[in-house]
Amino acid sequence: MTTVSEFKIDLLISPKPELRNPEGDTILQDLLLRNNFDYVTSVSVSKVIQLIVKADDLDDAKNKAAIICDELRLYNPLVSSCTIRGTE
Amino acid sequence: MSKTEFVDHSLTENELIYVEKSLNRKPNSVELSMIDAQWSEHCSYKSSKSLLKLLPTKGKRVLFGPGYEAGVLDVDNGQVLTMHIESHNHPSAIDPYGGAATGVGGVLRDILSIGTRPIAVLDSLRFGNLSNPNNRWLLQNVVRGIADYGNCVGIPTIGGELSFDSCFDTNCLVDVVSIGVGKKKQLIFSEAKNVGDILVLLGNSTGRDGIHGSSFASKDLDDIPTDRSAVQIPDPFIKKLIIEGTMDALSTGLVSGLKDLGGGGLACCLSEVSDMGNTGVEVDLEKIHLRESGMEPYEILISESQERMLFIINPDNLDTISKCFDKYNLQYSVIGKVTDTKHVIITNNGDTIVDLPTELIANAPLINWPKTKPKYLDSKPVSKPELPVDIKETLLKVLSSPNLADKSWIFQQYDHEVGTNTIVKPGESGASVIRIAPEKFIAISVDGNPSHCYLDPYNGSAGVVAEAMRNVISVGAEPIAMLDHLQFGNPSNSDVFWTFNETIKSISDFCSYIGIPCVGGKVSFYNEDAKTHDAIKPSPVISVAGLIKGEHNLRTRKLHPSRPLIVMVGETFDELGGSEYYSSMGHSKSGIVPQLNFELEKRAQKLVRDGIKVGLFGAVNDCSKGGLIHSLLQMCTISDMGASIDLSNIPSNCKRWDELLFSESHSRFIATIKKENFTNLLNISRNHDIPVSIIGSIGGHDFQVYNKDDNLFSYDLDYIRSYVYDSLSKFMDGQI
Repeated sequence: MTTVSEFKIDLLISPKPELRNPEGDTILQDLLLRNNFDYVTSVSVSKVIQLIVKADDLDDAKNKAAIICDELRLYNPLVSSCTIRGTE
Repeated sequence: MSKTEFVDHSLTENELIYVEKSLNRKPNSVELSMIDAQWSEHCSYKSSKSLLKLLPTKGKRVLFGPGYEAGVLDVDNGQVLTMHIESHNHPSAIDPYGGAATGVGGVLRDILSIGTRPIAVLDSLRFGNLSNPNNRWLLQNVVRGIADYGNCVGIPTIGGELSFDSCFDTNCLVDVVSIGVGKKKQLIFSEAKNVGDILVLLGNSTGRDGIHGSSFASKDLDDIPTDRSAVQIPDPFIKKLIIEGTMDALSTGLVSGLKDLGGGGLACCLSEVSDMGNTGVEVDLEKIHLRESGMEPYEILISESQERMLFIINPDNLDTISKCFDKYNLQYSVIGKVTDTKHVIITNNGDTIVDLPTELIANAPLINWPKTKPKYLDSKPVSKPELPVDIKETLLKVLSSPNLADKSWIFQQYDHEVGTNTIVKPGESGASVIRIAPEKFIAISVDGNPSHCYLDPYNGSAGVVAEAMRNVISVGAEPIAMLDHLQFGNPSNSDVFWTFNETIKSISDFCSYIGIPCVGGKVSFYNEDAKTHDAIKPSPVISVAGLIKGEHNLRTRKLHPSRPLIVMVGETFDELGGSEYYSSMGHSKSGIVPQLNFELEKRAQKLVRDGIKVGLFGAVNDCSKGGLIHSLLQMCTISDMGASIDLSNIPSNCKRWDELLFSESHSRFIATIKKENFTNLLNISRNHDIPVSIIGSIGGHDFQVYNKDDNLFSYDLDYIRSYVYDSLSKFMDGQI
């Protein structure tokens, strides 16, 4: 018999690495480098959506989250990538 | 010659032959890329240029019209108003957030390129039915893109309009109007006129984003690239700095020429500045600041990386100008110089990789497509819909339809106040008003009506201009100029081209008659369903700017007890073809579209302008989409005040109550007056030969309609408002 548990799922929606990330660039140029934190070479701003998902196991929870991402179009695959991470 | 020998381009066989004959050789692949970008429909207007010449472009306030980065109008005291319209339809269809945001960014650069500061943005949006989740996703993200960009860059989005039609299911339209102000003596043009000047590329580094963007905008959407190449990334943070750096540089008086990099990137920019200046340019690709390594020369030339401007300056002035850029930490490179060769020459690693006559690149051969009147326009008229039995149900259904529903769901997402000069805000009238100097204001409207234009391209299109004019007149302004944005399907479809031709003819006829100059515009073709090749309905979008001097001349829709009588200016006809009412009743493809009587329209507009000038009218509203009932409800809801009208007092030959309420006849206004002023108004109306009649009065909190003694309906305003106000957000939530 399978038991249903709750899993914490993070949907990390990031601009595709080959695309510009203006928000990250602005933080790098106008905040970090301007204040001499010149050991930072790149900044990228992403979005995290945290879900608590009821599922049979972690894979099931991730699959359910993936369905939400795609059906509700939480990101545009043309410009962003979505990484699904989870813990029990 | 096989097309496969070349890079991925959109040139026709005939165009290739023309290029070869002109050059007396085959172009190499980099040259071909440049020609491809510049000869795209988006940049060259090759299908529309000959017809666009019909539009009247002269006017007493017009300093510069079509052909410049923006239309320029003299608004007295050395001050100029600039205005421009752009669309970003194809990019918004695949990346609604970035597409819409870069659409705003692009039009702001046009205003900046002519030496003026952008002060406001308006948007005209078209989407498919909201029952389709994809359309909801598009709308949500387009609005977010516009809002975020405007908010970040600190320029208010002061108005716009939105409508839905299933013809936009696979082709949303995202149009942006921007206006700017500046000093007449600081105007600058996109020309490289002085041999020896240097070319300075300012702003973002050049990357691979947006490659083939302009060619992509000139194709059907069946060929959408699935990779990043056609996507453009908005950067409002840099844009804000570019605006300030550019304004500083211009204030030195040392800039010879200025142009933004938009569609077609550097390729189009270089050929256009040298063509305008009747010179040549020489550019070294190695000097361009790049974001990515390994970029091919053609990629650098046609990249549409956002937020870039080309400055043309005397080399002796580089130190002074570069200080303006350094102040804002902006990147720039000196990439080349102006020559007398009348050629665009590009070198890379010491090799000449492009050597093309400027005149050839900048002037694509024009195309005159065949025209045939579409068969549907000759189909037999269908009988009118039956008179509805349930008045209340009909009324609520029509008024809460997505096209008529209150649009605050959208404009509440925009910052329309930043700058604190927005005087008439979205929803307060059909036009918005922004202050440009003490006691000097600009009114601006943007309108369209695809349903009217589909059923009757001639009357529909001229009607859109008339409506846009009525909207600025309603806020107390004198219309001074207009912009047209003509959006159609594939021009090689003879039906489509016939409707395009009719549209330009009608806009040109009406503008010439009424005396409003066209100072700019845009054409967007290839808006058709990728699979069925069904074109969108003819969709001209018109923006009209007006000038108001003196705050006492400002008007809105807001009712005030001091002027309790409601008057109707103009006559209502049985013209419900393409109306929101017929559409709600399932009769969207039949009926007589409101006919625009040019003479009547001119007289009605004059009457209202005179009525405002002498202080007769209080609240004023144009009466068009949705008819009398919609216009009146707009006035009541914004004022939180009821009204009572009697349909039998409306000047009209209509017999049915639904026709009186919902007819979208042109040349009509609703206004409020004082009781004691009616005789005065009658005199003015006789002078203008336009019927005017008292149709009711304001007051209370009920919205009541009578037909003589028969009370057709009477409901509390809040009850109706709950339908009209919440409707759009319910559609967006998928609840309706």
